[in-house]
Amino acid sequence: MNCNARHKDPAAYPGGGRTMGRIVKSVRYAAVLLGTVLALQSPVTGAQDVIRIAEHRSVRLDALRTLVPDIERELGIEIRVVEYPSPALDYFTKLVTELRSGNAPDVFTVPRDQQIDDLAAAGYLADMSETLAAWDGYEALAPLARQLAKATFDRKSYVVPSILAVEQLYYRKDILERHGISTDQPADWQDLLDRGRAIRDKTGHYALLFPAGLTWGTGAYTEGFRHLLAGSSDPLLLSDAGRYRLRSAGVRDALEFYETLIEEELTPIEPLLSPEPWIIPKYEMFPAGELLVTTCGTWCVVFDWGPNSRNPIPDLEQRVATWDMPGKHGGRHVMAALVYGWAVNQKSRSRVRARQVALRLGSVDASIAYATGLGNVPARLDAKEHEGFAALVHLHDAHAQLTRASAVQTTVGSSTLMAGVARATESLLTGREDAAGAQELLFRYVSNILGDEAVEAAAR
Amino acid sequence: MSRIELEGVWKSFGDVEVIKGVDIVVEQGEFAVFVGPSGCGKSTLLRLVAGLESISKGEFRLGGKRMNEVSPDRRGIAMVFQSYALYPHMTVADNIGFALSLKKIPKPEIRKRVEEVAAILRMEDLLARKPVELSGGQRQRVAIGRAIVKRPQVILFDEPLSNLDAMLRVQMRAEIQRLHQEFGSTIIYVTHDQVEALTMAQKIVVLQGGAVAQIGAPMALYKKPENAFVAQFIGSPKMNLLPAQIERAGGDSCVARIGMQAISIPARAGFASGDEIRIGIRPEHIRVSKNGQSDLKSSVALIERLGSETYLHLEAEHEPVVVRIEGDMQADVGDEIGIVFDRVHCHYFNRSGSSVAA
Amino acid sequence: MVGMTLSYEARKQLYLRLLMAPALLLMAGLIVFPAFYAIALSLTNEALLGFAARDSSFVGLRNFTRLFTDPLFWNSLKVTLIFVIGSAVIGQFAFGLLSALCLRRPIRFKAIFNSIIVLPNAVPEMVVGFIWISMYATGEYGTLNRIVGWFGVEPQQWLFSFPLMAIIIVNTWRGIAFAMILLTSGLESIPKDVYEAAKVDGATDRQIFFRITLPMLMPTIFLYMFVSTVTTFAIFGLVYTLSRGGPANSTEIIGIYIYNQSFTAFQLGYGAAVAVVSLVISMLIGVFYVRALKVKI
Repeated sequence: MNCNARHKDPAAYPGGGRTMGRIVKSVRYAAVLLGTVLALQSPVTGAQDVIRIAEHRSVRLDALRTLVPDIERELGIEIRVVEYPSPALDYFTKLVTELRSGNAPDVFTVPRDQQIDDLAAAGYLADMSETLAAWDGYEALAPLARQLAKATFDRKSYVVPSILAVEQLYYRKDILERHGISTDQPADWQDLLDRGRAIRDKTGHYALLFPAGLTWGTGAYTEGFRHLLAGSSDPLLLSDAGRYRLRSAGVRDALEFYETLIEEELTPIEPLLSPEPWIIPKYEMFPAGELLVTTCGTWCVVFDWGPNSRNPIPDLEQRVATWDMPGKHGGRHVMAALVYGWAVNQKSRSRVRARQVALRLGSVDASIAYATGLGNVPARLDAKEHEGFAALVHLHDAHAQLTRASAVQTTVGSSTLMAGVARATESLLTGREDAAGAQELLFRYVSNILGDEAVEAAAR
Repeated sequence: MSRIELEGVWKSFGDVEVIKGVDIVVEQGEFAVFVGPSGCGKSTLLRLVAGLESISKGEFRLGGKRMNEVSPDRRGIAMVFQSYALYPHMTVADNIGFALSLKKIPKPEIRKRVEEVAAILRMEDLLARKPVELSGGQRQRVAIGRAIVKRPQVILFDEPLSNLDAMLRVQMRAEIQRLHQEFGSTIIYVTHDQVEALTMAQKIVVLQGGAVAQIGAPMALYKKPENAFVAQFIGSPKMNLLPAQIERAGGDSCVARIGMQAISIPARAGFASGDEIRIGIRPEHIRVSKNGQSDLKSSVALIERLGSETYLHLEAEHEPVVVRIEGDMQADVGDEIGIVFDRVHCHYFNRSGSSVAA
Repeated sequence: MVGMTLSYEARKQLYLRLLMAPALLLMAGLIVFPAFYAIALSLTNEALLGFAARDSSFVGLRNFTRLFTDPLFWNSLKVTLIFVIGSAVIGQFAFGLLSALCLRRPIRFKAIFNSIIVLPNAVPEMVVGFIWISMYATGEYGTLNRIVGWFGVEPQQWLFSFPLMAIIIVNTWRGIAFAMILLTSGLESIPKDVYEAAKVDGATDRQIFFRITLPMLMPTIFLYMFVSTVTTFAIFGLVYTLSRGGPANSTEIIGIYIYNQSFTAFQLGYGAAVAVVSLVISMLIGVFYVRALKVKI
């Protein structure tokens, strides 16, 4: 036995040596393979810039695809449209998780202006203030659009406005007239409630729908609560320090209004407690004339009751009309929200190009394209001079109102606020709480999640 | 009354006939053994008596009353299973007392009777154990205890000793017989081991292929088998059966030819010239010829020496013959030996296997 | 590479380790690491939105104190407890045992019955949710309302009037198969002659069931209880589709509570705290069952 010979020649080891050799070889192969795969992952550099745009919902995707070729040509870039899930919450959740992990697309929309603060505070959005200031379209925007494009906490602009959601009270003019109920603009909340009672007594149907309840999700706030808050005795939701004033009289007013609707059976309750609560009231009851007044927006005449909707109302223009939302003690307002503003990913590798794309998407052509598909109002006042505007008859009126439209300012933590409003209105629907109790519930919910520093403790 | 009568009993499983017209009577207090090779139907018969299987045709009476439709628990019968079938989640005491507890007998009474049984079977110290902690023999005793605590009229044993080693088997055989003497229940005992049958039974029922081959007292079966099957089944080593042909019948004696050799045998009414018969003779009824005069010449194929006796395995005319010799014997393999048959103890069987009438 | 001759034993050990290494790595990466990460996360105010998303800070046990002082959390624990006991411990078990017992006898169309029982389990969770939404739909055209209408009962709002009962029924319907399969195998393992001995001893069917079958089935029953309790505890999609946790949090099981906290509010730290508490509860359930199993047989 020659021990030295053994040490020198691993292949001579019986069994063990040969297998060890095989293992070493396979590790080497694996390493080479892994390296190659990783190398192929790195982005192709050179040639053209590629800008990825996130988009969802088929109407929006269709609109975007008509705009993309022109933008590509003008800017000399390649655009890739990344399709995202349609439901709003799914879209937003997926977007946020990608923004967090750093591989979100370069350009994307922020579905609602309330979300701008949260996204900006998290550092996901590129600051668009200078870009917008240098843009020729900036002055053409409605003032409210410019305001809502900013985050509340630092007053910087973060999105390029494209369209606005304009909401009012939609009512069945034909049925009200038939029963001799006044169709004048309600003067205040009392008048509106009286109108509702008259509807209930004379027609036996439900009078008013302000979305509420847990299953309606953010709609309880956006399509119901804020309309009331804006016209309440204390419409300011934020204090000077930027905290939520949830114990204010305004919040109380709004919740008391809900309470009245529920107590006096002016609003349907059961559908609001089931999953997808909008189906029965909006798609069935309103067309059937069993619900006569509801909050809704310009898109409703297209999607909810138009010719291509589930339950179309024939002769829509003759049967359905709008009121402004009255204030509690008088006055009237049209609610607007900045929806689908275009933002740029702070971590985008081609921020400059991305900003340019965002500005292009704020052009009049783009706004009209989206407005046509979605039934929302273009955010730019000069849109009415565009040739495509004439066809959008259902938007003319709302577009003319843009300069007097109002909105409720929110700040970071708005999703919690909206969830809190959903829970508070749910407690009213189930009768668990009265208005005061619901207000406390809202306060505790938001302060529990966002912390005491996010809310104003006093009821000032 | 615990007299058991099976009259014209048939049992089929689907198209397969397992019991084919069986008539058996077991008197009250009798220890009857059902014996036979595997597949003869003895366990099935037992289960019919127990009520675990239904009778296809025929009648089963217990104490004179028809019991075909009565459920097992109402027959007043206890059964000891081959696999013991103890309740694994209960202690020995609970196992034994289970039947009593079902009848809502008060607990102190149950305990008393369980302890009685445990004393009889000498297992008082095992009462708190679970079956999984016991040896085979101990489990067997628990199974027996479970059966006798009910003080049943009839006890059925289904090959209870087949899973035990030889020494335990001998012990338990004695135990069971002792119990029979003490309690006097009617016992039906199923086994494939004819030694158990011979030693324990007052009446043996030999079964073959689902039918009764012979019923009788052990020695009656031993000395006067009615057919070749019983003749060879009872007795160990087996009775030798030599095929022969009657050459000349008539008169006081006949000549039977076994292969190339001929022997004279007593005349029988059933003999006719040319008949093919088999001559049966037990190993202990064959003598080795000392003086050169023998019935049959044979050569030694194998010798088994047991000390107290010796078994010579011979070959005569290409037929195996076993001879039992008292004590030891000088012989070698290949030796030529002449053997003599004790004519008194010869049996004659015809071609269909039945014993030839005298 | 290897300087000395390895003994046979040592070589075998090395190969074994190398063989197990991929599985261990996967487990470490996908199970152990996320668990520890969740624990770490629960001690911060990590969020997906808002300032905390940019720079989260260590907040110690604040999430936990918030958790334990939140009545909604205790409500979700209570709802989950009722849900688990109602559907897993009682519903699925009772029907599973019944099916297991019945389907051991030769009956016609046994295969069809088997399929009917097993199919609900084969359907994905969300689809089950949608099926039962249609079942429970309010108004006279909801399936269940139509059925009870034949008996003269008014159309009900099932999910509103009996929410917890409704989801317990759905989950029971879904999980009978699992209980049935497990209990069938447990029943198979009981030797037949034990039943025969009991019959000869004079036991009625009822006595046999309660004094022989059920006690001998105990290990299987415990195993079933353990697995189904832990898996039912973790249910989310089914209930979320049906009721979103409402009305009024009456069906907000802990999975939905976590979801609402983490995604509606985008508070990852808080959601992780609830998840950690859930993990502890599941582990306690596991320890309890393992102890009980050891005691039994």
